[in-house]
Amino acid sequence: MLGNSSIFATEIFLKPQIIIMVDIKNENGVYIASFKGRLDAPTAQEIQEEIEALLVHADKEIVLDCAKLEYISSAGLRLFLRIRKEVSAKGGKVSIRNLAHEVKDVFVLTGFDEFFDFHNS
Amino acid sequence: MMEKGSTSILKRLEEVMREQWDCDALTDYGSDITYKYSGVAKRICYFHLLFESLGIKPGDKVAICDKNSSNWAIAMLAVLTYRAVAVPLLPDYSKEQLKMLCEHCDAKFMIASHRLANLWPEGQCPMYMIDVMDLLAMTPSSFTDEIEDKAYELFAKRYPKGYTKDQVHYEAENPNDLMILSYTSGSTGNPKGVMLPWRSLQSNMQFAADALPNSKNMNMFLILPMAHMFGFAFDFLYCITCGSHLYILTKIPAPKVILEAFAAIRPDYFLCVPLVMEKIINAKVKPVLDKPLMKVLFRVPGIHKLICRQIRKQLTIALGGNFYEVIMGGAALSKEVERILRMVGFRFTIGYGMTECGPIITYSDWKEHRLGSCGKAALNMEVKVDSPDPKNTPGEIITKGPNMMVGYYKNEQATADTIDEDGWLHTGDLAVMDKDGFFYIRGRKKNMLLGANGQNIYPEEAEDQVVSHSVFEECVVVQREGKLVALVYISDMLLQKLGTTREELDLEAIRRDVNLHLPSYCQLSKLEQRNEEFEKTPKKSIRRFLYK
Repeated sequence: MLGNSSIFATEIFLKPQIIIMVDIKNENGVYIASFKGRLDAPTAQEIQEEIEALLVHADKEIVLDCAKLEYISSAGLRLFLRIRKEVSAKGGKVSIRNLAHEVKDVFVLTGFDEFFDFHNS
Repeated sequence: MMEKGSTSILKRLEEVMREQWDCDALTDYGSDITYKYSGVAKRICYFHLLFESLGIKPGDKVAICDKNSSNWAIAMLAVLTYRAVAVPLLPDYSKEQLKMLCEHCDAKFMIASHRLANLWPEGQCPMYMIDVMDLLAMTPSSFTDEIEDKAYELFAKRYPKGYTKDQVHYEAENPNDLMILSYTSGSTGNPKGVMLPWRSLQSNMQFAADALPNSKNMNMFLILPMAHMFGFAFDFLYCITCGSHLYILTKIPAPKVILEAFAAIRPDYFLCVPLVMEKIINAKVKPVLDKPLMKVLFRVPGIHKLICRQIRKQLTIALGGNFYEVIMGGAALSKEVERILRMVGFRFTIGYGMTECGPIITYSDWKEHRLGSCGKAALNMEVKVDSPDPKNTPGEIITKGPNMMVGYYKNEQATADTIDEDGWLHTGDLAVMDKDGFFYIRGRKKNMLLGANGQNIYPEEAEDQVVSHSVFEECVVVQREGKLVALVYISDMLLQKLGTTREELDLEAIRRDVNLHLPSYCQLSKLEQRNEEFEKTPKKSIRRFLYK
């Protein structure tokens, strides 16, 4: 019994903790990607697939909803920058909404606020 | 406006960030992004916090390696305003050379192109690397995240209400502290790290404020590599301290792109290497002048003047129509092109300098410019020709003054070979000087050849004539058994344009034609064609020592 529970506990422990989630929805032709959690070097890797799926619609309007985004590092900024570049190349439109004050500071500080339109819903 | 009396570059930058907060500062020509001075100041602030988080201190070396861009400019300003020592490295160096240079200069941090992400094997990277393309960590990891976290925390603590123009503060520099470590590519061997103190650039900025247009609303178009001192000092640093809007060309300066940009930007003055003007003249003016009818009309006195005026007008419009003058430097201008520019009364001048002087040594305004000259001693500089008869016998240009470097980094021998006991810097260039103090360069001392009759031969003069009076684009003149041989190269592209092949070119006829333009002691005995262009340094100078 002890052995089994130990294996179970290890499995739980080793399983990567989900600290980022992206939910993509199409609302009247606008693709809304809602981010939840921390967007840093490891988590930016985790959501590659979702981002690829989002970029299929780079010729449309994309909104990055960051209401539940708690933190962003340069890896996260680079991901956002990639979305912007792809959308710009394919003639779409991208904006960021509901960015928390502390996360917005990172955009301002690194100068990335110049690359995006920000709004609150 | 850059005040003639103010010397602190960093205090001037502080002022300009505040004064020009809402004005445009940097644009990558052709892109849709323009940074205002406020955006530049904020990114500089971020870099400072990042440096602090990494434990980098003023005086530490920070390498910047990439081609021209707004981000390059921001990175450079961040390093300078932190009073770290900037080490600009040309991206043309191979990975191995860059690694060697980074190790040689003891860089603690590197801002580079993403192609250098694996410059050091994983885990052995002695530096935190930032990609100059977007100024973000090059290899995101838990370490980079940790450093950034620290920087963000510092920001929240220091600027709880955000970063405003009142918070821009840069400590004044100490003139004797090291500002830049600039590697000269060395056409003869290994690169040398030129140590330039702040006083060198302070003095160069004084010269610029005195000699160049000086207004807050200047538009500038940058095509020179900003990592070279010529472009760095007078295209970038001077114009930023004036509060100008800098449009940066991030691509190869093809004539078509440049001419389009001139029309859109209308720069207030323009810096380039002679090759750019040579291409413009060869493409736009020479074909007109070479028409048989034009040659006849040129002999009619009144018409001659009218044609020159018309050519000048069109050339001026082609370059935006708003520039005070075009300043060329970095290489010799073809005599033929200079003659045409002079004949039509075009506003141009030629300066002379070297990295070791940060860079200016001689200059004159276009109104004073003399044919074949590179001007007079620049402000603050003492310049002379080391010759018993400087007016007639060429001697080495030697110079002294605040623009001068401290020496070569970790190379005392090279320093001693260049700066003599009396403090004169030996440039290695040979020149004569006229009675009014104008200098006329003859060639490099180390390239000088001795003719059969003991006459000094400057191969650069013969090479200029070959390129001016033949189809060849590159030439190196060498001496074999006492005779001059011109090694020549023409590109496949030009051959295609001319509808010919290398084999079809009549080398003997070309040689005879070129010799008509050369003095008797400098006659070429042979033209030897190469199938490949000459090997060059990152600065695009031919590595002449490879050719014998």
